[in-house]
Amino acid sequence: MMFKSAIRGMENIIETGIPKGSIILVTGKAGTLKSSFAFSMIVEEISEGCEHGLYATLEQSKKSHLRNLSSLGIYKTDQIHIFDYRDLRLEWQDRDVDLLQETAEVIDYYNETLGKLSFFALDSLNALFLLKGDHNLRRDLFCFFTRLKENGLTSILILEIGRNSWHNSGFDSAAFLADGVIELGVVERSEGLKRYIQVKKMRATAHSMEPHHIVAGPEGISILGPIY
Amino acid sequence: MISKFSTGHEVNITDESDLNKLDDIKTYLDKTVKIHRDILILSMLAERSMCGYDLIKNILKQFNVLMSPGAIYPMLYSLEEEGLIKAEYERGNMRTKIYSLTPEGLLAADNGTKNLTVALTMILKIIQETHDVQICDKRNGKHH
Repeated sequence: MMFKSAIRGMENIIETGIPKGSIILVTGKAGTLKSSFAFSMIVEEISEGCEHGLYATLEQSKKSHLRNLSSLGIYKTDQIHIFDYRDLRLEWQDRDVDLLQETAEVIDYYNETLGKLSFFALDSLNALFLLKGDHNLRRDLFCFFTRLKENGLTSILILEIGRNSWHNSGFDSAAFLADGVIELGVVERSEGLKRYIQVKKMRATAHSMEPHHIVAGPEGISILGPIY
Repeated sequence: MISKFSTGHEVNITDESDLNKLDDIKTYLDKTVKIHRDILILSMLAERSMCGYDLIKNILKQFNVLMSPGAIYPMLYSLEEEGLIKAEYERGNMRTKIYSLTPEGLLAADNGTKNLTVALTMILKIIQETHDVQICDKRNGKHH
């Protein structure tokens, strides 16, 4: 079981941790801490072991991502590797490139080079599939998820999506295929706007269904009590 | 029939069944290029600076092997992190990063090329000798 103490207060929402090799979707609209949450989970989980993690970013540049993280007291370690698609996307934008296939190649590269790639995060699933162009989303998602499982990777896939936008997005099958879905968002309460985290689905572990308050500051990310 | 690879190397095809040789050779070429792409990249950059796209084009032209961008760009980033290559944008073109060797990269290209040549030559020599002994033994009716 993993990630139980990756984020302060994680035990408030997940009882026994997340099984190794799971695929977790982290969903939410823009500005809901998805990237920082995903990165932080992996950094903290691998900080004590000899495993490696790969964070693939399609939208935000590596530089900008690291700048945002450092403002939250989250720092990259030697065991986490960031692959920024920027150069590939810019140089190949007029040419036919299958980003799904390229992502598999990138994973293969780090697997071969590092020997022990255990974690993979993708920021974001939307970008990967939108850039892929003409495709059968359901079939491609299935193949992509299968490949991650075959590689034995514990994966965190970021999906930028609002609470009520699942049906039209075509990504509902991603939620079905994933082992877990964690939603991040913002709610309005009498005391003002609050960020929340809610485990919508998590196979093989008991978890809270309540939205919990999540805060980010110079000390990193913390999960507090339930928001009613 | 003599079939010529884009590398300039020739393979003598004497029989129709030998056409399979080309596919077999291609398989080994693919594997070798993929495994040693770090040395190939360094040696190509020793000739001239270029972007990731041009490196892939060059590998295709020289070895008839199409490398995927997903196998080349992470390698470029690793070589850059190791301080063997440096990247700069072309003047007036923020779309294309041009990679060139650092002095350390030049040394690594030189050593890597020499070491790889020695290693491959050794392997080929041993494979050839073992093969020759086996053929000779078969002809003489010896079994191992």
